[in-house]
Amino acid sequence: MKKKDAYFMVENLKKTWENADSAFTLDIDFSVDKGEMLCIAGQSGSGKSTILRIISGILPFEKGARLVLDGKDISTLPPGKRDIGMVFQNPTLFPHMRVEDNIAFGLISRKVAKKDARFRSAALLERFGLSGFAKRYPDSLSGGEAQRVALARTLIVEPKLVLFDEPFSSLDAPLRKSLALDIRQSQRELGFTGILVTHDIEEAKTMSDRVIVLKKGSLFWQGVAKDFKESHISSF
Amino acid sequence: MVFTKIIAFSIFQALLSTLVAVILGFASAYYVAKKKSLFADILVSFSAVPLCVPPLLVALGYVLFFGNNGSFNRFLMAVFNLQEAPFSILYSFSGIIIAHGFYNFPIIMKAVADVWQRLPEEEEWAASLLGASRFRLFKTISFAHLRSPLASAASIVFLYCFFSFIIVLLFGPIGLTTLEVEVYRASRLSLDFSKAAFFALVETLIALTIVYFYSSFEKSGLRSQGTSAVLREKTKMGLSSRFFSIVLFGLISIFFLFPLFSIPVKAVFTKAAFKTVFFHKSFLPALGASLQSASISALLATSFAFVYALCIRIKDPLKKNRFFRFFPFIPMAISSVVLGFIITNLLFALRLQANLFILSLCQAFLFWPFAFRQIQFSLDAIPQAIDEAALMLSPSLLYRVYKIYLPLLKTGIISALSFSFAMSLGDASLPLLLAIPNIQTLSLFTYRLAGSYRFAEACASGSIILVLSVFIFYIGERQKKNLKREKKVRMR
Repeated sequence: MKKKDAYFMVENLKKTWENADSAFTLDIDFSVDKGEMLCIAGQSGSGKSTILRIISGILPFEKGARLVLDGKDISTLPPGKRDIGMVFQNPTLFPHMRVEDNIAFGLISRKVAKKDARFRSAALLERFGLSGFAKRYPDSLSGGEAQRVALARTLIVEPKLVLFDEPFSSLDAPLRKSLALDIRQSQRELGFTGILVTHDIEEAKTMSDRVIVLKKGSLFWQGVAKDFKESHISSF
Repeated sequence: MVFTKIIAFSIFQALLSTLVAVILGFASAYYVAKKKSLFADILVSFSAVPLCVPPLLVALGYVLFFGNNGSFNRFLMAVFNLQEAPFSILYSFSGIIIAHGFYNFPIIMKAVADVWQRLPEEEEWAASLLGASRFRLFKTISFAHLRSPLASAASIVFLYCFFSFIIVLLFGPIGLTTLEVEVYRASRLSLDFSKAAFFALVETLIALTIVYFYSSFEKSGLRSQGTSAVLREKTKMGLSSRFFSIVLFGLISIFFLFPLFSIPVKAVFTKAAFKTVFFHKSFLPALGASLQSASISALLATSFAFVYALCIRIKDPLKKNRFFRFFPFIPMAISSVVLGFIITNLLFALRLQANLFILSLCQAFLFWPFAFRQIQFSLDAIPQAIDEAALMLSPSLLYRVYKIYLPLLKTGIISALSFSFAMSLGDASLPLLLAIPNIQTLSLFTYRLAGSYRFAEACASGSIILVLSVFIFYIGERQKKNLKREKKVRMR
């Protein structure tokens, strides 16, 4: 499961948490190769999103765990210093900023000149077929457009690892499929490494190279994406 | 004082007072929204004070607490063994600013904290993952959401301070005066009506500009509104925030809590103060007149607000017409003194005399924007689909209003009634301006007691207003809490 020379490694990740009707412990080790897209699947409450929140630094974890990205221990770094991007369930665009400012946000945070940031933002907008949207506000975008902008905002800073937390859950079926294909194509073109969390079999197969299935916080199944079946999730 | 100086001073004192209220309100909102502590809980309980405690009582509290013979000075004289009162803010410019700032800061606190504690967490996560520093996170994400509620609350505070009458009249320094006080002096004391009309016009035009900005801030707030219906989890206080909370609490206690507490304390601990008031020949008629005028004005303001809110909901469901949204706030640009001046002249021209109904009508006009906001808040909680279903299933508009809107808006209506009732009850300016023959309200009765230096009796009478206002206001607030709960259930 865990390779010593992997691009991203999660070692001894432990966290105990409670939900409405049960309490259980997340206890997992895994790794992701450079340029690979790993899918973490499992039923609701299995700990999938919690893993992403821990990796991104939003949630703390118990002592003893180690997160290594590109040979560097990022376990104690704050979220902004980990070189990790994240696409959330909802697009979480900043509602008071225009599309171009949303996309350029990460670059400006990294002290890139506004002009350069806008230029790169325009290039990414074109890449995602949103050229005419630069001056618009998020409330005028459809769900799919907003999620594309969120993806562009994440990718513009060229993070070493991109986390996708059920990014299509708020979209309808045809849009989910087209966006999933779009992300997969971008991932191949741009070569970023990613972790996708989903409970949708088709999505997992379309978007990832490898799948791990969680059951109450522990590893239940792992394999290549094409072997992933409904029974791996529903047999809980 | 030259008229340009009066205008400049009116604006300057209102601006400075608003600045004090903004600083205090923003700092308090931070504790209310983000920190788990008793201090934050205490701050929350102040939210309603500016709306349900009349300015007359604030002025009275300040005189009792900060006067030369007040509790604060006596305390300092005893501790430091001084012969003369060391602390003097009454009858000074700083006194007006401090009284205004501390009296109004809960308006800012409530408006900002309500949004702050509901800011969507994911936006902040996204920003910090994109490398935003804590300062940039606050500036570009949190503050961007807080800017509109802060600006609209600050506009309201500015208007309150700009229109402040009793506080400036009672302890404004010699030589410094505001437009509001000058309208009163010119119309009631020097009887220079053209001067009064000029000042009234200038004051109203300035206020109208502020009201326009206020309605724009309200509109722009829609775009940056926090989307989360769930309250953010609060954190424990660290050492530095504990230190600042102590400083803040100290200031709030000295300039806000203790002066207000002085009123009931003085009334209770002065022998026979309540007895003298109760047996005063004017007390019962004044109480009756107050209850009567407050009830009528609350009913009128709420009915008009209900009808107007429903009309614009039906005519403009998508909230596109700017004037429809601006119109309800126009009365906020007219002060009670200016309205009193206009009505007095109108009555004089018509050879009529002011009466209790006219007083109620004027108060309803002044307070209906507040009633409208309560009903609008309640109306916004009703999904558009309910309107459509009601339209298809009801035989007539009247049936729809009676069977659908009235029951659904019940909480908003009760809240609007209590708001306008409490505000009318505490209003001393209009009764003073209209000077209804043989009739005085409880606020006017209290004002006259204070004006004749019968402070203990004024405190007893003021305490009765305080208890009545707080009680009525409490009923309205409970209704609002019920509404928030209903809103959450409807969202699920």
